[in-house]
Parts: sequence; structure tokens; C-alpha cells
Amino acid sequence: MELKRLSPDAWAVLAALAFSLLIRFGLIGRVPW
Amino acid sequence: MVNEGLFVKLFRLLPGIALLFGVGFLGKILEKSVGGYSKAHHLAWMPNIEYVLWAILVGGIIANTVGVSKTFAPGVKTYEFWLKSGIVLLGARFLLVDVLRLSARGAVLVTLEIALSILFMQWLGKAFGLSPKLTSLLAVGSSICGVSAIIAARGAIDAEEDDSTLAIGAIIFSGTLALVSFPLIGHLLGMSDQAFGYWAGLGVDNTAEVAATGALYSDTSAKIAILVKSVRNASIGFVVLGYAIYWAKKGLAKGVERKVAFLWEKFPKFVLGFLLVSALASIGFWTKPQLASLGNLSKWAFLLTFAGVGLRADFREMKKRGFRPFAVGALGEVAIAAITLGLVYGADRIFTL
Repeated sequence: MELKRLSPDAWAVLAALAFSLLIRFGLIGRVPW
Repeated sequence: MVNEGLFVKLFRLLPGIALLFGVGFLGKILEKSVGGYSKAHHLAWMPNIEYVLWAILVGGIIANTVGVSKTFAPGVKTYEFWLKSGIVLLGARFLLVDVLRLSARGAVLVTLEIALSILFMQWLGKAFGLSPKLTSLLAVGSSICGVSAIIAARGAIDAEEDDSTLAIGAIIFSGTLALVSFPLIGHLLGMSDQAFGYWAGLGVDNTAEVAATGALYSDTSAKIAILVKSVRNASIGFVVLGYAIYWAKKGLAKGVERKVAFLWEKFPKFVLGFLLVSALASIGFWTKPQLASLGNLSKWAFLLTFAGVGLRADFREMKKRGFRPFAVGALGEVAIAAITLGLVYGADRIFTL
């Protein structure tokens, strides 16, 4: 699928899932607040 | 294939995103420094202002003084993206069973809220002599989810571009009113975090303002408010479809042929992302510290959203557009706030929220 065709909602879901996987597999360590 | 256009587009977003981050981070710094100062100097009269409000205030001051220039505008508009990403990540802080339990209660209240709000807004628009389609847009916007509902309804009922701009302005204006008034009223009435969360989720118009209003009260309120609002958002397709059929029957809009496809198209997909993350968290996909990191990441995304809420609250623009739609929006907000407060009080007695 072309990236440009993705809806803004789909972009937000993909970005959030990508970050949550990076955290799951230790590629992103502790996120401070 | 990813073409060059996409990278150029992303590059144009950077200044605005940096501004969102800067304003949000300044909010965090102000919360700590002003709070610390008033504590150190025993200034008991000084209210403890949270980063949420600071970020909105700083953003609002920028928007209403120097304004948001063209360089920053595209990036500032990404606050919706941060909001939805934040909601998906927030799923990590809910067990799926809790989501289902809270949503089931929420769904009953949401159905009542939507029906009562639409009836009231239709009557109010008529009383103020607004055009029927602008009234429909305001009714959809205040009963479900503000800006995205209006945009969804605009196409479906063939409304004028100008009407939808006005309706969006009015919804944002009344959302700002709610931000200031809801937490004050909640504290005055001594509402519990849960009850306030339900109220903010049901009564505030726009998702970004719902998140901010909930967060101004407490962390728990923010979580519940966002969940209830997501149930409201999920109903968007049904209400818009209802209006599309109504206007098509009057011969003033083209009808909807493929209704299931229409419902899927209008369904907010970030709700599915939220459910997926919540389901994964429930089966132990992430460790406890990882879940804490996901929660913090969600907070950062919301911080950028709150900065965006302030940066787009340009009251000078609203002044130019005439008073009536804003009056209808504000009056509608007050009435819906009262109706939903009654609903929450009633539900609290039945279920103990």
C-alpha cells in the first residue's frame, strides 16, 4: 500500500505500535517523564 | 515506494512540531518552578497550576499575540496525530477487562447523551435562526466528538465549507470554556476521580479538550475521560449516517449506498489500536517497567496535544466570524454539561462509578 494513502488515524496507530514494539524488544530503554 | 514528496512534507512539519514540544516542555518547567516557588515562599493563596494548563496558557498567549506563522502552522496541526498516538499508547495502562467493563457503562451513558444533545442542539439552532445544515453540524459536533465529527458530517450532508468552519470554531471555543469550568465545578461538587472522568468524557466536545480537562483533575480522571470519549467517537458513523439519510430524504444531499462500508470508513481506527495495545498489555506482552515507559510516552504525546490546544485557540479569528454560532456553541455546551452531570450523578447512584 502506498504510504501517502494512509489515513491520519492509521499513521497514529502505526507510530504508536512501532514505538511500543521498540520498547518491547529493548531498542528503546526507559522513557522518563 | 516512498517518494520525495513525503519527505518534503515531513520536513515542513518539523518547525511546528518543535514549537509544540517547546510550548509543552515550557509548561512542565513552569509547573515545577512556579509550584516550587510558591511552596518555598509559603504562598498558600497561589493555586497549583499543572503543566496541562501551563501548556495551554502559553500556547494561547502565542496564538493571540504574535500568532502562529505559516512556517509553524503545518506542524502545529499534527496535534491530532499526537492525540491519537497518545490514546493508542494509553491502552497499555488498561486491562482489557476494565476497558470492556468501563465501556459497557460508558455506552449506556453515551447513547443517552447523544440523543439528548442532538435534540437540544436542534432546538437551540432553530431558536437562534441558524441555517438547518449549520445546526446539524453543531448538533453532531457537540453530541459526539467535535472537529472530526463535523468534518465527517460535512461531506455526508453536503454542507457549505463556511458552515463547517464556523461549526468547528464554535466547538473549539466551547471546548476551551469547558477546560476552565469543568475542573472548578468538579472540585466544588467534590466529585470523585471516576465520576469526573465520566463527566468530562461525556460533556466536553473535542477529544483533545477531553484529555486536557480530565488531566487537569487527576490522572485517573484523564484515563476514564479518554475511554468514555473513545466510546463516543466510535459512534460517529451511526450518527453521521442517520443525518446523511435524513438530508437525503429531504432531497438536499446524495444518499449513502453502501452503508457498512460507510460505517467502517467513519469508524475511528485509533480506537482499534487502543484495544489492541490494551489486549497485548493484558496478556503480559510488556514487562512492568516497559508498561511504565509506554505510559510515559503516552504522556509526552498528550503534552504536545495540549500545546496544540492552546496554539489553535485564536480568539481574534473567532471575533471576525460573528457571534451567533459561538453563542449557540457555548449555550449548547452549558446545557450538555448540565445534562451529562445529571446523567453521571444518576449513574453514580445506580452503579457507583
